[in-house]
Amino acid sequence: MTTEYKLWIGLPGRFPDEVDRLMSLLNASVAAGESNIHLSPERSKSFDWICDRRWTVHEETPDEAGWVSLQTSGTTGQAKWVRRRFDDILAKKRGRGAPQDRWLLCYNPARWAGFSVLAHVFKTAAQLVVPRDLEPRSIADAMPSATHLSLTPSMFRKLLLYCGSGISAMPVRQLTFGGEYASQKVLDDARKIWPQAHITHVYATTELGDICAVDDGNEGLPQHKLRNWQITEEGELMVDAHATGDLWEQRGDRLIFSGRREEVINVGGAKVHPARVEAACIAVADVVECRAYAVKNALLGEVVGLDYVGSIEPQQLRALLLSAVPKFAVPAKIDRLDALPLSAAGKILRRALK
Amino acid sequence: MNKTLEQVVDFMKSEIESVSLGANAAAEVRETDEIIADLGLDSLDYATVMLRCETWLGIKVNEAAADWRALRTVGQLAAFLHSHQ
Repeated sequence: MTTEYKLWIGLPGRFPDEVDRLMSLLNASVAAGESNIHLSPERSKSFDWICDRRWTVHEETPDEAGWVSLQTSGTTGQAKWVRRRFDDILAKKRGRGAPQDRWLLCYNPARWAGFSVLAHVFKTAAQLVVPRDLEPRSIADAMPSATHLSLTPSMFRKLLLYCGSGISAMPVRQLTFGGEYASQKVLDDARKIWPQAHITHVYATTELGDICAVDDGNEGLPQHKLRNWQITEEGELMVDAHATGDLWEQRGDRLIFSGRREEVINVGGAKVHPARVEAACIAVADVVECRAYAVKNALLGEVVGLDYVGSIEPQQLRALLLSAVPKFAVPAKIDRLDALPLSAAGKILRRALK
Repeated sequence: MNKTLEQVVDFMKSEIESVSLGANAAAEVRETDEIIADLGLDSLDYATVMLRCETWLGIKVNEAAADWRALRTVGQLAAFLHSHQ
């Protein structure tokens, strides 16, 4: 037995190809064992650019009806399933919307950030604009067809690079930042480019979903918008007794982001666990020991840095890693050392060289 | 001692060649080339080139200082980094 929902998708121009792309993205994730969402084609009516699809939530047992499960790498680097009831996801969607809103999909719809956009489009009966793929160039090409954007601050910066000053001409009415911390600079730049747009930044975790949405134009979280929260002695934000893994500091009546508790590196929204990069280095090259860490970067927020001990040249190591790990996990800074510093307990010091 | 703009441009061209694994020969890269649109680098390559230049120059660029709409060509990025020494 399956539970079926209707999803309206509005697509400009190349509608059959774009719907197929959305289906491919979702079905590929199912084939890879990363999600349980199937999108079954069934067209009941179509105009130039609107089609009706039935969205099937696949279940393995009757108890699974209405559940959505997607994989996430989370904060530990180990893939895990996060399950939520589709109706609960919809219930938490509080944003306003209208059928003429055209949301540009800038995230993988088989990940929670992208699925959140689909759920919002579904709940508000708005329209979805699907780019050729999720590369910045393709997203930039699709922007003239969209009025609403949900994207990471890093994707926003990339689009500025790709589009240049022409970005101001895009008909953006709503801009929602998520996936990374939205700095005051990002919010101010967006305001300058689209002074008429409504700009929101959302703080969410995969485990808890949306925690807080802010649209007052300032970075950070207003404390009055949070429920059941506390900051631990270490500075970690707890919500509903759940550890977010994020460190925040209180400044006046707001919380300002100050880093991650774990060592996870956030490269433009893509999470990289250092241990995976280190394991890949040792597997592909003559590396004795190594340490991956986050390097702050003006464009992507963070990029991966790597220190290693071994005979291979840095450029050769980078070339090998390009075939071994996702591009965003390839270190942007690679330094060969004679030895890595150790703590008193004999462990590689993770932060000493950051 | 600060590097000259010409030195920064030359270093950037060599890093572009390195990051692109030779696809963009330093001698053929022009200052007017857009790093992404013309040279085919992606945003991570761009960030890598920028990071290597920052390290070589001994500087760290703050996000607040960057207008990405105006940092698209080799010449624009080089001038920006040169001015932050």
